Amino acid sequence: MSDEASTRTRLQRFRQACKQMFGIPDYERYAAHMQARHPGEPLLPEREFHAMAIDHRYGGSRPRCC
Amino acid sequence: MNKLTSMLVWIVVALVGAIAFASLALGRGESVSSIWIVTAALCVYFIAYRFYSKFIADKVLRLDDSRLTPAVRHNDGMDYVPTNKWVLYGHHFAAIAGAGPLVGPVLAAQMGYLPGTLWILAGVVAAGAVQDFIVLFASVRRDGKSLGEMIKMELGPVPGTLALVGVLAIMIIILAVLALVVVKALTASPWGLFTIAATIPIALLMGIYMRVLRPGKIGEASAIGVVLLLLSIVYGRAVAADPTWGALFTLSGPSLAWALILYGGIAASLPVWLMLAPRDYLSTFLKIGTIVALAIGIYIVAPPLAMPRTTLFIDGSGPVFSGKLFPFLFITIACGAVSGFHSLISSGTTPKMIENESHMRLIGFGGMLAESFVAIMALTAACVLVPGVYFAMNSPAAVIGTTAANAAQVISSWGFTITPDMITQTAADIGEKTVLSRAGGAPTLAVGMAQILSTAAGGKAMEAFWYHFAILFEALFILTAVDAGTRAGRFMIQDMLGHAYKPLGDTKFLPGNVLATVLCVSAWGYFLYQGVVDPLGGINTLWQLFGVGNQMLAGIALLLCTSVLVKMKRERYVWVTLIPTAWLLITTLTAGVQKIFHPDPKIGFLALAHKFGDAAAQGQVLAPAKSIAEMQRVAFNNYLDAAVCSVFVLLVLAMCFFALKICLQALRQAQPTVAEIPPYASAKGVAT
Repeated sequence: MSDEASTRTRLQRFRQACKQMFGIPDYERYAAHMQARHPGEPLLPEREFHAMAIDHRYGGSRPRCC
Repeated sequence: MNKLTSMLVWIVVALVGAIAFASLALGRGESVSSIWIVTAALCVYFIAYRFYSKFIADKVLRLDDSRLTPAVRHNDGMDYVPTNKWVLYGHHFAAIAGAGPLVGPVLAAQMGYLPGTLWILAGVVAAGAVQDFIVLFASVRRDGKSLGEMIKMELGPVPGTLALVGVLAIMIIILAVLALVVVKALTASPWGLFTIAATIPIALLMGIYMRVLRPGKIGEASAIGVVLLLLSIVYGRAVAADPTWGALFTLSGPSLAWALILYGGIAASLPVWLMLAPRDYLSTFLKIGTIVALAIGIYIVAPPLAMPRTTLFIDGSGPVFSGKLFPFLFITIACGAVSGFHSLISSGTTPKMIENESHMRLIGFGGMLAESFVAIMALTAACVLVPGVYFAMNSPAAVIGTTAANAAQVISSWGFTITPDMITQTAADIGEKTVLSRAGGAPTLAVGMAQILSTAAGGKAMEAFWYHFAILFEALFILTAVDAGTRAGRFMIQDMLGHAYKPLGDTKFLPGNVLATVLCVSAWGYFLYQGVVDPLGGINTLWQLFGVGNQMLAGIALLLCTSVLVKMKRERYVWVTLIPTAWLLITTLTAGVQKIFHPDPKIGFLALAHKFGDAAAQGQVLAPAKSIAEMQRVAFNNYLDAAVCSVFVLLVLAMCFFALKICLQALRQAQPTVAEIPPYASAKGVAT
């Protein structure tokens, strides 16, 4: 792997970690997961994925801490 | 690292901790640096984490990385995602840290810095972190089930239903008290109100940005939001100074209460992506940033503690809250030492993201240690203030009057010398007209933070900015909690209504939604409004009611943990949960019973209700009430508070009974009887 490529992977990993920490839905992760685990199944388009992830995260009866 | 070095390192940590405690507890006369509180706390956390949490993980729970966690079994790339443990640590911490650890310690500072510090540290190690860790463990072993579902599974359907009723009651009180904190901070504060009001359009803009304009670009939207927020603080001063706009944003307590009630109803009815989600992201960024800044600030500035080690108010005569150190300190500081609400978070999103069982030690136990550290910092920030200023800000008007001259005279008579000029100067420094009777923790913490942060960065000129920044940071996540809590309350109410009349339970049935929302908002709105108009201050009553409720919930969660351990046939180690359970039951039942029956009207709800009711019946008006109608209202509200408190007490006694029954049954069995996912369960859809 070239230096540039490895920096890019590291940067990408850092971005993913930040997203997870703040609970931001990550489309790339989802797409990668679907491809690896459920190939052939329909993939949600990015816009729908984000809408659904936010609705899941905040939709249910999820109390916030005091 | 070899064994010897490791041992030496831990001996050094223990020694440093011992020196820190000695400086806090034994120093004579000379002022003590706040560094010692922070150092003592850190040493306790490191030692507790290294030894006690390891003991719980290895011996008591026997965490097993060969078992698949729900995140792995149900991995869907969206809700169930195996997550790096440090990342999840941050995520879990952001979810549990709220206003609680910031408010309780500030109120408890009236007894001096030492009682609060000792309870926060002892409580977190023995109770809080243990509860969070074991509830998380129980939930992970049950496919990420919630606290209510787990109580139903392990203790039976009746205790399950009782627990849900308890959670709803506590949530109503919590929403009222959090909203009251905001009202106390923003009354007659146009600068503060303007910045908080500005968060509404900012959140809507962010919501539209991340849903419609650039879907999913939450980072971009948040960056825009943070910049706009900072601008609103900067320009808030000009808005407040403007005669027309300033007057528009100067609201009285009751008007603010109505505004919040209206806001809660509307906000909880909007789609989540429009306001709740963007505001929650904003508040999470701000929360983490501010807590880190405060920690660095305390270490750089190392302010001396101005509050004495203990004050005369440990005898129960304090102006901020009434009642003796035992049991009232232990319910005033809930979050930070042990918080029942965490059991809902530890059985919420976090168990669905745990990658390996062994990670739970860091996330469950370690996460709570971090929250405890926030409480320690809040206590520190309150104790670096001149005690006279602290009492001026936290005593009700009925005690210190409404002028700086009067307040200074009363507070000086307690032995905390202060001049009227010092009080007015404090207000002027932070760009406010008055600081008197701003109970509720947020404003006191904000003044403390402003003094620390302005010394670290920006100097005196920045103090007003930092004050309003701190108020904004607290109000922002309180409003998020009000919004999310109202929604959660609505779901629970709908669920209960559904048992009475089926269609009302359908969350897609609009009249059912509206009815449940109105019921939930009216319930907390009622307590909020009564708190605002209460001549005795409101926080005085509501915070203690919340403390009793929250600690009762912790007691219930720990009873569940105890039952789980017994049902796993780990009764040898049952003291790990039994000791904190017993302590919580002793303190909260004592506090609960005293709050109801204590003969002193300053403490007992019934005594105060009788006093005002009897006087009203004879046509007398007692100060601070101004009319017979007000007298009757005070009496009625105290009967109501006594009723709520009784519900908490009875609920926890009932749970004790059920838990005891189940434990005795399990003890007679030779085999474990827990309802765990079997260890050999494999990932769904993946052949193993």
